[in-house]
This record gives sequence, C-alpha cells and structure tokens, in this order.
Amino acid sequence: MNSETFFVDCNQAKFLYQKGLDGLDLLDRLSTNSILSLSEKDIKTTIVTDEKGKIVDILNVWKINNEKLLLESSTSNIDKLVFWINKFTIEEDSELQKVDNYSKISIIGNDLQELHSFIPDLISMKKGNFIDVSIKSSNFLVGRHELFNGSESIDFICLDGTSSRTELKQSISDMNIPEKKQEEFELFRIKNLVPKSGKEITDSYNPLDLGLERFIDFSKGCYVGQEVVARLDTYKKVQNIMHVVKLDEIDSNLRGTKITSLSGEYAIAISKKKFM
Amino acid sequence: MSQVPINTIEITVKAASKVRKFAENEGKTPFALKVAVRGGGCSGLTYDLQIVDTPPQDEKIIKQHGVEIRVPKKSFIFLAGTTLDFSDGLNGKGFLFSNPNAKKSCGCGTSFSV
Repeated sequence: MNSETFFVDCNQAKFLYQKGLDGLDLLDRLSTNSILSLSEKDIKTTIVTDEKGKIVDILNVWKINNEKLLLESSTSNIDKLVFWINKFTIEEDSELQKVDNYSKISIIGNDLQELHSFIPDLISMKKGNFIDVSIKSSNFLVGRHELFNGSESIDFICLDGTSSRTELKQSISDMNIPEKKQEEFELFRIKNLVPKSGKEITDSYNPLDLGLERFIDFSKGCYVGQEVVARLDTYKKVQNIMHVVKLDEIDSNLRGTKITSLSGEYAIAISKKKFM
Repeated sequence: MSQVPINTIEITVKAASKVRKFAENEGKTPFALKVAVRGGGCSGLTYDLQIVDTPPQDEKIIKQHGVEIRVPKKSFIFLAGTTLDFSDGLNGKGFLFSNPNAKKSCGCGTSFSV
C-alpha cells in the first residue's frame, strides 16, 4: 500500500436520501452487510445484490438519524439502485430522494497531523463514524471510513454545492496535502486493487469475485441474493479473481481474462480461477 | 387442503389457536393479526406477522376461527388465496404460508417471490 498522503475529488460519487422509519430495515433486507445496528453518525458499506447474487450497487450508508439515511452511490449505478429499492418497497415507510448538489472529497494516507489541527475532532473519531463540520460558513459531513480495498480514508461530503468544494480543496492544498487528479488516482486505484463502480463493480460479478468479503455479514440472515452468496462461500465456488497485471508481462496462458480498467502499463484484470 | 378462494386468505384452527395464545401472552385484548408482505429477504419478498391492538387502517379484514386477520391492501395482492398454518413439534417450522402466488420460496420459508 502506498503510504503517501493525498486527496482526490470523487466526482463519480452520487447521493440520495432514504427517508422514513423503515428505510434502514428495508436496506438491510436488500444488502449484504448488517446495518440494522448502525447508530446515528455511523457509516457502513454494504452491497445490494440481485437474486443471482450479482452486484446491483455498492454503497456507503451514512446514518443521519432514525428516519434519514444518506446513501452514497455512483454515477454509473445510482439509477439502477433507485429502481431496485423502489421495486421492493411495498408497505414500507421509505422514500428515496436524489441529491444533485452534494459532492465528495477524500483524503487518503496516514500523515494527517495538519488535518488534525484543521479539524481537532478527527483525532478522537473512530473508523466508521462521522461528524458535522462547518468550514468558512459551508457545511460538510466528515467521516473516517475506507476505500473498497480496506485502506483508510477521511471523507468530506460537501453539502453546499460547488463553491464550498472549491474552497475545501484550497484549504486541503494549503495543508501541503497534494491533489491526485483523476488519471493519477486511476493508476493508484489500479495498483492498489480498489474496485470501481462501472468498471469492476457491475452486474457481471458477485461481491466475492471482487474480494469484497469484508462487506458481507455471513450470519445476518436473509437478503436478496443471500442464498447464492452463502453457497459460493461455503462450497468455495467463487469463479473469478481480481488482480493487477502489468501489460508487458501478461501471461498468455491467462485464458478467460477480462481487462476491466487500464491506466498506463497497469490494469485490473478479472480471471477465471481455474485458469490461474 | 382445499383451494382457498382468491378474494380471501384463510387461517387453520391450529394457527388460530397459536395466534390467540401469542396475543394472550402479549396482553393484547382485543387483538387482530396483521399479515403483510415486506420487500427483501432471500427470495425478494418476506412475510410479516404482527399482533396488533390498534384500529384498522386501509386493510382488508377477514374473521375466522376467532381471529380477526388484517391484510394491508398492497400486501393482499401478493397474499390472495393464502392459507396460514402452524407446524409445531421438535422439527416444526412455526407459522407456514401456503401461497398460490409464490413461484419460489427460500429454505427458511419466510421469503418468497412471485
């Protein structure tokens, strides 16, 4: 894992509110992780799967209060997610509302001294928690969370539109934390095997194909796709494996390999395990 | 088991007796059995049973074997023609739904798809 500290403008992140007393319960019955025990100001990642155990979307759930969740999806999957949740909303007190003006900036890395003096509450904040922060009269949610490969991140959700995001980026730069532009971050993501929505995270794969076990609670009980996911795990029937390849060294025997992302000479490939 | 008309749902004598016992244990008198369907679960839809002592809302009401059954209208679409039974004993499964609308059920029997 690269130990440098940097920030990235996550322009693929898309947000929606799930409002109503049954929202969390409904989402728990549709996704892989146990989220019923979430308290206010907790964040957790869960994966919505279809009947075949394939990924509909992977999302971060930010619990605002008992009647309001902020769901963090992606540009490529948000419409599918909304359709899927609405399809299973029958009697539930649950309503989805897209939010267009929110955006996200993540700081990745371990050297956070400057950031701690900028937001002192971060020092005592545990992983999986968030706080409300006001910076230069703009409002943010700031959470200690993780990338989809498990490496830690500090996530800022900008609640007040583009200008607040620009100001935040300037403030972070002033702390000598450099920005990784999209192409640079893509290379970082590939080298560190972080799956991305629309690339690896699609309905072609199940969560186990992409090594996302940490977001599955195998003892939580029923959710759509649970029987398939549980069976794949129990009987060791996961077909695919995600790995980084350097293109000039690719093994010609890697039959059935699909290149899902590419940046420079590095790529993420998903291969059939039986050919490895 | 004879076919249940599609404009109603039925409860067996055994299931009704268990429901009355649960209501008594919960101290709810008078009571009704709310039978509903919720989204999610391994087959996509999940049965939901509740003993309630609140006034009926927008629900279909069926009375049988001393139990008032209330089914929310949206749920009734998925439950029409269903029989609710009870299986006890060491290997019993508790309340059992025999639902003619269910094309697929999961192993635990609480989830189904149409």
